[in-house]
Amino acid sequence: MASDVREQAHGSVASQLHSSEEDRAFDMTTSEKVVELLNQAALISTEEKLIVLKQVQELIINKDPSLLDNFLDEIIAFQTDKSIEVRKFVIGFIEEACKRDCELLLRLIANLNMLMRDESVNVVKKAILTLSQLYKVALQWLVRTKSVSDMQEACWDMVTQLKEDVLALLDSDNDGVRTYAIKFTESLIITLSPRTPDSDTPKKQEGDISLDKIPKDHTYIRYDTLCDEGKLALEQLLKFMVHPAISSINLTAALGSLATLARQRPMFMSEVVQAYETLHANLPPTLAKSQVSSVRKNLKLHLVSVLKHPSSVDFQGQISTLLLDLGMSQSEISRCTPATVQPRKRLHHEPYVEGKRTKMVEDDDDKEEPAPVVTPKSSSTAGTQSSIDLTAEFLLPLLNPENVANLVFCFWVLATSATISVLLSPQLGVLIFSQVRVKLLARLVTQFEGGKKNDLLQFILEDMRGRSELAFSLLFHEYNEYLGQQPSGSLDSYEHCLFTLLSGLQEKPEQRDGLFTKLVLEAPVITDSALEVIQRYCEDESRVYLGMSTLKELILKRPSRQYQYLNVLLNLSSHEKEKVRSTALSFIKRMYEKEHLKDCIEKFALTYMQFLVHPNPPSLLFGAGEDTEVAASWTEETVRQCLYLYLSLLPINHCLVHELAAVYTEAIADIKRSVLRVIEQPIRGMGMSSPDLLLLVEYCPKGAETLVTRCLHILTDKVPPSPELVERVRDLYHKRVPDVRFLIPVINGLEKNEVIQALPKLIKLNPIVVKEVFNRLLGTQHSEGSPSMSPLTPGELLIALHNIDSSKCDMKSIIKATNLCFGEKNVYTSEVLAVVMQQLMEQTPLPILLMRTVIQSLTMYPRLAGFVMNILARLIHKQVWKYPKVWEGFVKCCQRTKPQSYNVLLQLPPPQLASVFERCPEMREPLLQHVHAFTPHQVHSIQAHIPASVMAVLEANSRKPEPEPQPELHHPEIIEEREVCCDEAEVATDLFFCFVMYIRV
Amino acid sequence: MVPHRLVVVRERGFDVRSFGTGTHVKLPGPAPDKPNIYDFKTTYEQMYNDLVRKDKELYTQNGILHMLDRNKRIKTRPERFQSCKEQFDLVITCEERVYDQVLEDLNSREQESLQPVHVINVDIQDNHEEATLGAFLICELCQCIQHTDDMENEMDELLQEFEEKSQRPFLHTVCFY
Repeated sequence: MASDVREQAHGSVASQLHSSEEDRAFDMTTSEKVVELLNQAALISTEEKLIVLKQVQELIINKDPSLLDNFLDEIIAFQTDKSIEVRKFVIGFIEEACKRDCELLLRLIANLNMLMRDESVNVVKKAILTLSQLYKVALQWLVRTKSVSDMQEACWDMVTQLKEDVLALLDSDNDGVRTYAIKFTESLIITLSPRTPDSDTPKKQEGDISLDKIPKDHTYIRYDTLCDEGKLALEQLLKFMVHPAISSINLTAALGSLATLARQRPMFMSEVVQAYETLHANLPPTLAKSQVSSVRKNLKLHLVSVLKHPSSVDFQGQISTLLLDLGMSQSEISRCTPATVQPRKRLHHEPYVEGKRTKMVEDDDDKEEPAPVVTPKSSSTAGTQSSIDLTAEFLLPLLNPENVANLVFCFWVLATSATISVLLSPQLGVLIFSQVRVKLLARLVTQFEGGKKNDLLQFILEDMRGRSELAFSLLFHEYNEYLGQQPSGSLDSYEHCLFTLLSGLQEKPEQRDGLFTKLVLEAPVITDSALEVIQRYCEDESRVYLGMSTLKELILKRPSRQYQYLNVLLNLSSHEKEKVRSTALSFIKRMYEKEHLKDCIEKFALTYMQFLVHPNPPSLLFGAGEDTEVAASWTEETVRQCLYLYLSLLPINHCLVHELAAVYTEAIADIKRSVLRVIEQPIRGMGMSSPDLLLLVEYCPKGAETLVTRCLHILTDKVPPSPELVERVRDLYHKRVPDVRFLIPVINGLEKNEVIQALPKLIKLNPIVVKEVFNRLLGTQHSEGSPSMSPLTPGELLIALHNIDSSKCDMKSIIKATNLCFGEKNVYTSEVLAVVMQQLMEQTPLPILLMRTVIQSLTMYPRLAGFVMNILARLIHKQVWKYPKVWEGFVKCCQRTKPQSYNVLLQLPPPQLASVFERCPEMREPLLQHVHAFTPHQVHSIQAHIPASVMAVLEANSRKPEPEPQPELHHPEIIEEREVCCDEAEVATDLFFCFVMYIRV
Repeated sequence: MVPHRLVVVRERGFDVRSFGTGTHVKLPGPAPDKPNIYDFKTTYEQMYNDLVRKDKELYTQNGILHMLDRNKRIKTRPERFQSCKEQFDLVITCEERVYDQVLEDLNSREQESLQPVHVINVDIQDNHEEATLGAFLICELCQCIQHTDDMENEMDELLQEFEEKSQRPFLHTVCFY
């Protein structure tokens, strides 16, 4: 594509090159032409190069493919070109070449593998596109081959590996790369699943390979393995889609991929529709408002494209519900529903179209209402008589030649007092179920005793879809009966009818046409037993969305008992099945926006949360046995049950957070731990600008310190702390709870001196915590966003550690902390360490750990040796021997850096040199030899001029031993130092000597 | 003013083409309910001559002739997006209706290369001031996109910034060729 652009944009250059080309073309073979073009390509600018390379590609792939092999290497050599566009061209070339000649895959797949790891994402993206194509090419090629060679096996293994690599890119940090990975996954799933007769295959892909074309007895390609890989890829795609922080574009791409899958592989229709439902109910909270509009628009578009596919027939109910929710009108939806699959398709003639028929029922009901239903339950004769009269009344206007036959039949049934079973007999199946008969039958049955009613109900349930009018009629008549018997009437019969119908529908699998919803919403009264069935329906994972949509309608449209309905939904919010629970939560969240339901929902959520202060979980949580005493102890699961609803409301209504703090302070430790585990998402959802969270931080209640700390960590995990948050934490720390751990999450928001002041306390904490502090300060924390700005540079941090007052912190902790710094080799480069050493060396008094740091730096970066020699020389001027620990390290350092250190040693005053030899006598002899080896010229240079007193020490061995070096204790500073850190100094020395070893290990 | 409600941009080269998406080309006529309608085969030259013949003064005054004159120097005739088989990196629409048409068209094409194309809608009212403001906004947006190292990775954030700055919601999606 990009090369198209070039051709367009630089057409003039192209034509120039081209025309000069053509002039000579007459006496040039194609091969010569290619050679010339390739020669040009090596020298010209990127833009022209692309044009030339394109020409070469045309010549050797399309014009004369026999040349392809000859010039392959020359073209592929451009894969290391510095221009991204040229590298992308090479990938395109690989694709075209392999399509032209599959054998080339053997050579080129390794190049693609390399380009897939290119440093430019744009090259990687192009490589992914090409792999989408070449995966199919390679598979087809291998399937065609009877006996697969070793080379081919290796090639296919690499293709498979590349496929895995791209699937792993679904987790890439780059949004664009993830989008390409999604499309690759889509294409892979299509290839690795069988094409079926109802597959909607694009014309251009008709020749593509798919699972159904793979022989099960192939020598190398394993059908089962591929089949499993395809399923796995689908799972990965579905899993990817439910990631709560998925980007809007990834989501859009994935929605499209699912639609393609549903159309090209209708076998996945159910998974796709379910994924759409889940997504619709749980749009990622990270999307901006306009992104939500974009995503919803896309969802609508793709749902329509899925709906138009003939195989969507079983899912039309679900899809229509979603489309209605997305703002599409019923008539638009009907227009998109394929005509060939009208659910009511029958062999015989239908008197009315569906919509009209339903309307008839309603009209009839209206018309009937004034007609009083006077007949009480009495003898069947009387009942039949009055029924006939009534029937005649409303039949008259409907009479026409078409239904006379039916009427005759009905009257015959009635006149002979035939049993209902005749009406229900199978012969009737061939007759038209006219409105009239439906009415008749319903009316008739309501007059009858229980047994017949059950027969009729069973009859309806055998084909609910076809007999729904009868069902509705029956239900309304039962209700009319009840109204007619007011005020003493009983609802029992109506309830039985509704209950039987609803549970019949509920127990039937695969009922996706919305009859259940229709029945619930049209039933005049929802009885308790009916509500139980609705609840059971909602608990069925495959129908939860439909069930809860129905429940939502009830709550919103039947205000008289809305709290009772709402309660069912609320109870489901802590359901053990994840899908039921999450769907309930998303419905409740939407209802929470309604002012009149808000209090009720909130009260429920808080009641549940307040269970957490009880010593044992209430029996309510264990389902049915509400009265039984349960002495179970709290588990992670029961704690979560009490919090699901609360936590999903929290991001919507931030002031609820104070209730959590109150409960938290009273709860036992186990519960506290569970709470800390589950609050991550909601707290992140609230964000650090939430005034209520800031308030919580500011007034951190006693006992809620750990909760507040956890919140702070969650908030600052991925983003740097805001100034407001830092201010509140600072206040909390200074005025209320001086626990240094509060400062950690906001440490990068503090002032430099604040951090330095807190350091002694910070490094005394648990090693894992200290590590985290350092990660934050050094920017080595794993974070997605931009690196947060630390108040201290790495160098400043290390210097600050050296300057910690040893009365405030033990030496061991300081040493461990410096070790953490040295562990970050990427941060503490030789340059940083050089600056640190330089600055430390200039301080007075010298920091006790100075030489330790010098030696450690030297171990990490041997090339610092020259620099260290300078430091050592400067230390002599600073009378380093007055600082016992530093002096000790100085000698160690010289020992380790001989022979370079000889010149430094020679600069020591004689007593100190003698002290060195006392510590390590083995140094003397080599040093003496070093001096003896000086050339006469060197001896005269200032540098190498050795005073006699020094020579005396050097040669001491042959004479009497030197007196003890000056005791060092006369220096008040140092005495003090010794007294204070006596023990620590020991430790320091130990660590001093062993660190080199463990660094090497 | 019959602004072209659709702009497409190709990456880096910043190669811009404009298209119509309707079934016809409509230009304002003597009254709001009497537009001049042409099919996509008509050249700008022909439209120009037609309008000169019909009412030179009116169409000079309302700027249509000027616009046609400018257009005919860029290309011979208007193009219809749905008939264009070239691939683009970015499509910008100025009206939700047009955005929907583009999405519908792109989604109805058979996928082949899986090359993504981003589609962005910036709602711009059909009046002179809005069109000017909108033109600047789109131009700035394109420039910003052009300056990104990795368009697809930075688009999301960029659009949100623009949304905030311009105080209008954008629609954004990705389709595939």
